[in-house]
Amino acid sequence: MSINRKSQMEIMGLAIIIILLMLALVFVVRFTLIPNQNAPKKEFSQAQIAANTLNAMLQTNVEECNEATIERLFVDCAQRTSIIDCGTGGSFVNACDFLFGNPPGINSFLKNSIFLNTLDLWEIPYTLTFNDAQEVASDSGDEKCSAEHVGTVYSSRDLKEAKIGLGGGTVLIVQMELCS
Amino acid sequence: MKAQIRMGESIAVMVVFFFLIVIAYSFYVKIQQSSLAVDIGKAQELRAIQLAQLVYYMPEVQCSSGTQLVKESCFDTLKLEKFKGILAGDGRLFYFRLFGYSNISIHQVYPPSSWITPDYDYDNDGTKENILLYSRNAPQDDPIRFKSTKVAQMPVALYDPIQKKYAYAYLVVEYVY
Repeated sequence: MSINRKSQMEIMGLAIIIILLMLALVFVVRFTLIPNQNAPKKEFSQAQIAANTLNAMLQTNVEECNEATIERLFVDCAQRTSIIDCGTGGSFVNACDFLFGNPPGINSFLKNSIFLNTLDLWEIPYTLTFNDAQEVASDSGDEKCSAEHVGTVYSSRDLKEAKIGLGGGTVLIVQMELCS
Repeated sequence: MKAQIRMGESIAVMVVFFFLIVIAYSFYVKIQQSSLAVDIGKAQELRAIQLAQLVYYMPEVQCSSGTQLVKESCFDTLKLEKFKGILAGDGRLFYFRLFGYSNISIHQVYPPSSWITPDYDYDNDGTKENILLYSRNAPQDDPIRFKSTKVAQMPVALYDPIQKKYAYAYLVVEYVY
């Protein structure tokens, strides 16, 4: 009888140890294995910022280019008409060189006057691509914000497009990508 | 004597067991507290974004032509000037119910020199040009609430209907909770 009771007690002890181990395991799974989800703010506001940056930017008048809008500068750049002069001090600067810099990235209006005090300031990695050719990208982050780096360098990416119609079925596409 | 020793053993085991339970419970409570703080932070971040969106799509400030809205992501500077006056005057109580304790301002990015119609509120260094739309400071005597701030920014175009020009700016909402 006493042997039976002793073995019952031992089994109870083992059961308690197993329950404690299972509790510990639940904690480990809860706090280490389940990845942290992105804050809702980032997911939600990033898409909004991308869309609103494009909308606001395209409407802006540029003093250096006889008050032409940035949308008009994109059109002039794509058509290679060089109608708009963005030069100061008598020298002619075409819309492409003005927007994206010459060589590309150096003295870019979009980079220095638009993104430096907004997206760069807020440390949001971005890439603005025009007609799949010219682009302006952020300096922050290890890699350029693009689809190929999602899942490795960045956890998420939002892409917004603005389409500028030129007539005759031609459409210019300005893409804004924001990563986090 | 033997029974007393057994009793002592049992009591010691129970003391250790309850001690372990207390430690585990305090650990659990601490984790719950920190996750609650994170959840509250996330909720307040959403509130800041909600507030930014509310201002962003307010017909009181959006660019319009006649009765139709014509431009997205655009604030009319004359409307802003008028709205600022309303927020500081008769509409103070009404808009407090919407905005609560927060600061709402617009920072002009390009062109750097101000050409738009409303007056600017210059920063202390005199360099940044802001339009302070709404400002309501939280009471300082509350020991728990109103100790943290969440900020939401949103790019926007500023339209001057007199000169018919657009500037690039961004809306900043600082929500105090």
